Amino acid sequence: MKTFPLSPGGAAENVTLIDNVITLTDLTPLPRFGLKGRGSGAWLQAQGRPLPQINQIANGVLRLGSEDLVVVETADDLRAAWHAAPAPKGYTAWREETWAWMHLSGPRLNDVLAKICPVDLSPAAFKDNQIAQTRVGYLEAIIWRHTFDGREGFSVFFDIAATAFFANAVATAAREFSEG
Amino acid sequence: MKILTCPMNGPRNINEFQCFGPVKNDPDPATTSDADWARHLFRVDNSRGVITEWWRHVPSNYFFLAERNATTNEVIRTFTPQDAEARP
Amino acid sequence: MPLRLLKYAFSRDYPVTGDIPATPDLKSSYDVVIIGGGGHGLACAHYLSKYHGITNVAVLEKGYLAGGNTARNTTTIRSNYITKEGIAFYKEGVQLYEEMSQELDFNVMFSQRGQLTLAHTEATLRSFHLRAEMGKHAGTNIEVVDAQTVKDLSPHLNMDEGGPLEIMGGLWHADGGTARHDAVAWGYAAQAARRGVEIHQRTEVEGFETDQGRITKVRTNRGDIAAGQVMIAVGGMNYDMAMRAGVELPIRCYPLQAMVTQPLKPWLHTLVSSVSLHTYLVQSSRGEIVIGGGSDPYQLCSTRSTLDMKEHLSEGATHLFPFLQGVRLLRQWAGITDMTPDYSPIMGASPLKNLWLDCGWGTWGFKATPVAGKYMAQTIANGRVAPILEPFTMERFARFELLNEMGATAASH
Repeated sequence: MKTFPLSPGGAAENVTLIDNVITLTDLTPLPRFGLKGRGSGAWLQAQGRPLPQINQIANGVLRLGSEDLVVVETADDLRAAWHAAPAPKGYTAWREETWAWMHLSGPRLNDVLAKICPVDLSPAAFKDNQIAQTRVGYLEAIIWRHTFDGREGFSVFFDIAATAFFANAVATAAREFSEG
Repeated sequence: MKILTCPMNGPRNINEFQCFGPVKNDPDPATTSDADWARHLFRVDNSRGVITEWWRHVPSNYFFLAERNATTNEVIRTFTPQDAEARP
Repeated sequence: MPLRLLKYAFSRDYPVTGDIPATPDLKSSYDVVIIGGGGHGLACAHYLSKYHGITNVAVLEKGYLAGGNTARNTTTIRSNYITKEGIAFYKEGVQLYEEMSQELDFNVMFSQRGQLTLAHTEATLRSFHLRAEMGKHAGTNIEVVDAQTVKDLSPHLNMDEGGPLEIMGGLWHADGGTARHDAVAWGYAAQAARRGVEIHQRTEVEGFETDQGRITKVRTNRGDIAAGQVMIAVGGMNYDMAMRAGVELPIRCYPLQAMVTQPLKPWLHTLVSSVSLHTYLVQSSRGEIVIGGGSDPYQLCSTRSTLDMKEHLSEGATHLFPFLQGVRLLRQWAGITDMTPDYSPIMGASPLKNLWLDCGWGTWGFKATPVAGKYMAQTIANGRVAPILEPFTMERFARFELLNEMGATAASH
């Protein structure tokens, strides 16, 4: 059983996630599988996973670079298949170990994101299948549009060691909208 | 904020980038003298005109090249190493 | 004895005396030509003329006296470095500042109020212990202090208890201080001029003539000069100047920005700097809060200021002292720093026999003004590099004998 930062015994155990004008949901325990390096794209395609363009997401595959991919759906079977496969197949990027995954939603989502992310994420500027590799809440992050549990919003990957910092940054940015 | 255009991620604030300094030639370790090797390590193009530098877009860990005027700070162009090879 | 001010106060007619003579005509030859009329060049001229009897000296300055990096730094004086060579050198620099007003009969407003460097992490605190032990070993006043002592030393500090930037302790350097930069340069210039040193303002060196490994002529916009010995001390222009003599320095130029607030009543009684926030503050004798930080993140030969850096410095300053939030900024500026690979200066010999280097002063030049001047003068007078300067030779790079002062320099002045 893995210990994630916000779970009991985790490094960010006592951090509460904001849930008023904006709602933060921790998706870190959800499966994902990242592959990097020469051969990773070809191997993934051979598994029946078509690759989107760079900086786009399609069918649960995020393409972060020409040979830098993250699968966010049904990752466990894929991981087993990858381990059994012969090279070339890229190498595992340990995205499930090194990244936290948070979902942002709520009535003031756009206002808060405008404060903590320099990329224009409004519907006109940022399409459903787009990924932005940028900064969110002062951290290097990957952000894309994601509806989770019926809630429209965005998902963010960032360094798992900064979990408490990120939660704090979002809450601080949201304060001006919740007070007054 | 100054904007730099990443060949992969498009125009971004310059604080999303890290500069790795002017491009250097790779000397051959087998034939390079100690003195030349030291010069290769410590000497950097500090001229005031247009310099070609390595930059990295930090969130995506993407390395590329930029031509920039070291006095006016004007970025003339950004490009990939493949673009550089394709140039006549 | 520094009785000049007292004598002046008791004089009947308050005579106006110019400290610096008007620029004379350029002679055809000098024993020593010093390129650069900033603190370092003028200090060297002072020591040459006073202690080595060498007065046939010309100081050539492209612009006006002390108008380059001498006027653009943030006047921190300290010796809390980490290499034994660096500490020994800067320690004598601090001692020379302690005596400077006496030495020059000129009030340089040296204020030895101590420097407090803050640690927000355990890792920083560990590096402070190393610096403190190195400093104590060399006989400087330096110690690691706990959070309570930090609070006592600077009661207005936001300790951020329980926050991400909680202050866990500090490095207290009681020898640290500040001085009036114009007065330092002016004092050296006045002393040197009184002994016959010629100060040539608006005199730009355009090139050199060399023969058999020696400089034979210095070409200026006002004519050519023959020179026995030549020293380069031109701050952010050192790389270019050395290139004109065919000497390649391992230097890159970066802007260093700073700013001051409106004057306030005295409240900040030490120099305060934060390693994590890349911000340092000192209150000037005029009451302004001088705020500085690290160099710009990429090389550039420009003295422009940026909004990014002002935001960054303001963020750091208002985090440490939240009540500064309503205070207005009065001025901003930048200097061009000549950074070396190991964050230590390059002093001593060059590949040309009679060309001496006082270069690579990056962001650490002002504090070394007297000690660099003293030993560069000794070097030039004897034709042999002074022992205290030997570790700073340009040759150290070819020998891989670097003096790494990055941690003690880059983030915390």
